[in-house]
Amino acid sequence: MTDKRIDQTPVSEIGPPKVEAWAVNKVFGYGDASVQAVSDVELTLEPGTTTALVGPSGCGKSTLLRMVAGLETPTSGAIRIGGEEPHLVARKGRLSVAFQDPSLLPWRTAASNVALARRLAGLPKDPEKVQRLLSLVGLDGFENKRPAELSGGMRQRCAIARCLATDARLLLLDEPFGAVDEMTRRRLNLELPRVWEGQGTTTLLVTHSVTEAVLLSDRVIVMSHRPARVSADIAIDIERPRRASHLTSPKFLELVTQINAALGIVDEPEDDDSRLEAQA
Amino acid sequence: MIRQQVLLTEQMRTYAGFASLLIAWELLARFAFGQLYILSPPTAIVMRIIEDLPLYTRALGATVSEALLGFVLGNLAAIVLAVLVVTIPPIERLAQAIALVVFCLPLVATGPILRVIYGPGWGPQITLAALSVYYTTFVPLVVGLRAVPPSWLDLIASYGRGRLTAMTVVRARACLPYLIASLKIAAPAAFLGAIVGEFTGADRGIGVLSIQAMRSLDVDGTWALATIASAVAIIGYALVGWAGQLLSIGAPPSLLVSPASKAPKVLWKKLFMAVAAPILSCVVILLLWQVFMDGLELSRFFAKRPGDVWAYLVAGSQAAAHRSELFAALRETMGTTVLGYLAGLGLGAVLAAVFCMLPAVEKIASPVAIALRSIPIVATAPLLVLVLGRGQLGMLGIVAIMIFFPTLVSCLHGLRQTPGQVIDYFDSYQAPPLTQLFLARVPAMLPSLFAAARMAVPMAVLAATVAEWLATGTGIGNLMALTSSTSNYNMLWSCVTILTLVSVAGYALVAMLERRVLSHFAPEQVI
Repeated sequence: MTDKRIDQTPVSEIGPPKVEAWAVNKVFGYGDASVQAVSDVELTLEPGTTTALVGPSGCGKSTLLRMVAGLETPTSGAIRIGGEEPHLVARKGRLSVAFQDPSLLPWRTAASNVALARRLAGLPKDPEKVQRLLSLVGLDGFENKRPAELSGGMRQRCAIARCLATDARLLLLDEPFGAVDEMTRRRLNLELPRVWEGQGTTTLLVTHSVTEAVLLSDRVIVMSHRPARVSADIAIDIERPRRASHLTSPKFLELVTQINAALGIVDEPEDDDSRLEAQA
Repeated sequence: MIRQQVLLTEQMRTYAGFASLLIAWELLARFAFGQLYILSPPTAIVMRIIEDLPLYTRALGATVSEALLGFVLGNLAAIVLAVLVVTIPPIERLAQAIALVVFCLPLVATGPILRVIYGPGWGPQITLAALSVYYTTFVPLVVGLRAVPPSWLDLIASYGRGRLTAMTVVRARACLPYLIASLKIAAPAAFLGAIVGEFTGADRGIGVLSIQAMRSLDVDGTWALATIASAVAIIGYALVGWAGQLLSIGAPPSLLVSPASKAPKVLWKKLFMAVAAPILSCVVILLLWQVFMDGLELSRFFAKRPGDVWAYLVAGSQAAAHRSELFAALRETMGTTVLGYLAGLGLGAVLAAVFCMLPAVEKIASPVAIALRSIPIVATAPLLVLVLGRGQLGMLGIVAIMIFFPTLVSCLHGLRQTPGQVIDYFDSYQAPPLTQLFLARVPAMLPSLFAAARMAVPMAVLAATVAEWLATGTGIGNLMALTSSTSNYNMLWSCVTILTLVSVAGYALVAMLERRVLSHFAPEQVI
């Protein structure tokens, strides 16, 4: 009964949640075929901050995000969003995920793809809000186009608009710019955070671009190769809003170098070639 | 402008193809085969249709109504079952097994049994029409409902919604291309089912008229009726396709994936799947058979139960005699059927490869093949009997033609699936066309060939039994015709059971071969 009352609280009146993870492990498969994807991760995301997870591909960072989204259940340990279990938060439509693949439904227009999020979250229709979000991400005039008629970058922006359509206070971005080319990606990196900054969200971003991680977040967590463990936790104290000029500032470059070093330590296998050459 | 002109010339080529075919036909019929009474010239066929229009219209009305009802019922059943299977995955194996057995029922023998169950009227024709569309809709639909990118399902789950939302928001729309493709095939198939129902005893319809025309050696009439049946089938096929275009639903990406579900990795589960699951399916099917007959309180005289067949073929005192009679007939049928099956399959594949080597020929022949593919060959069996004769050669021809067209169309589709980059690669070495065919195109064609080969097994049995029933007077088809006219229902049910088992075994054999070959040539197709 109490759950129902909470359901009716307008999402906008709820502040950005705190996300906590205690001793989270995730094992896929059974017996000999099992793979430990995430190992003993402890994590706290402070309300209203943006945190980036970086690490080599296949290191389990996406699995961690999926567990926060309630799409996977930890094998052991616990995750709480504002004290509640992830799947319960998801059911109330209070978190939004942007996937690497924009996953727009091809038979729906841009506008109706964005509107779908509100329907799935059980919120009333709000065509004005949908329109506002689409112009915010620069898709004015493309409302009635289907995904096949949009460019890769436009599709990605449409997915971001959909992600924001429910006023969720927790954004989980799983390589949201992974499928677009480098130039578009940089532009989206600079434009889109302005859309959600200032409206008060807790954001978790998974990426394998160190530059993107530094550019977007307040804190970068470096994860080691499988099983994923936290191997470095670096605060990004660069003022907001971030601009293109930051990309070349000494502070920025220093942070990038620091993170690359943290990654380099766990990246040893990639040096195989040079080692072989040395042996020869 | 230029593009329009190109399209125009292509269309004209197609028309020219059809026109030259018609003219050749007319000339052949008039001058080469004039004295043989097997080939009617197109002009005579048209004259006959105009002459007998009122009679044909009445008959067509009956057959089309039966086919339409069967089409709706069969597809509805397939849709309901497919949705159930996708929402409740554990029932899939059982549902697939039952669906396959139903698909493998020999329609010819099912007809007379349904006739005594329903009494006079349209019941058997409608049921047979429904039975003949059911499987070809169910299987692709399950594939279509599943063919959804996992990220779409994640999106649904990230808002805490479950299977029902996934079904209504994503799967129901995503499967439409598959559904339309199946319904296109189902339209002529329903017509075929209705006509087979009419062959086995009805008072009106195109099938009834066809048999009468064949028996009275009315060549023009037989041709006229076969033409009408083909035209209606093609129109049905085209109508569904047109509806799909109207709703702007494209073709599905691929319809080739074999229906088997994921192979389990744990040993005891593997053992269970290999041994226990088929046994369980058999038990459930036998139980359904028994419960169905008992539930409807059908008379034991004509509605036999599994126990009756067992007693008749295995346990009874006369069982050995019954068995030897049945299996002698079965052997007689099987020889010709297997030959016809292989001939149809081989011809289809070889001709597809030839077309592929001669693109100019393909442009003309391909539309003709697709049009002919939608003709239910069995519905024109009386005509084929007239043309090919009443011997084993005629029967072989009917089986081969029945399988040839679907195989040809499927293989042409498969050959076009060869990735452009692979072709470019071969071209970059100036590889001769034959090398390209065998090393690049044929491997890409194999999944389509096997998909056609699997579906062709029950089709071959159907074609063979129809031919025997109508014409040759040999084999198990004839045995079924005899026993149904002498009300020897024990033997009739035994024939149905054994033929179904043979079809299922043949299907399983081809599916096994398919997995072997595809795991080598196209591992991505083997789930």
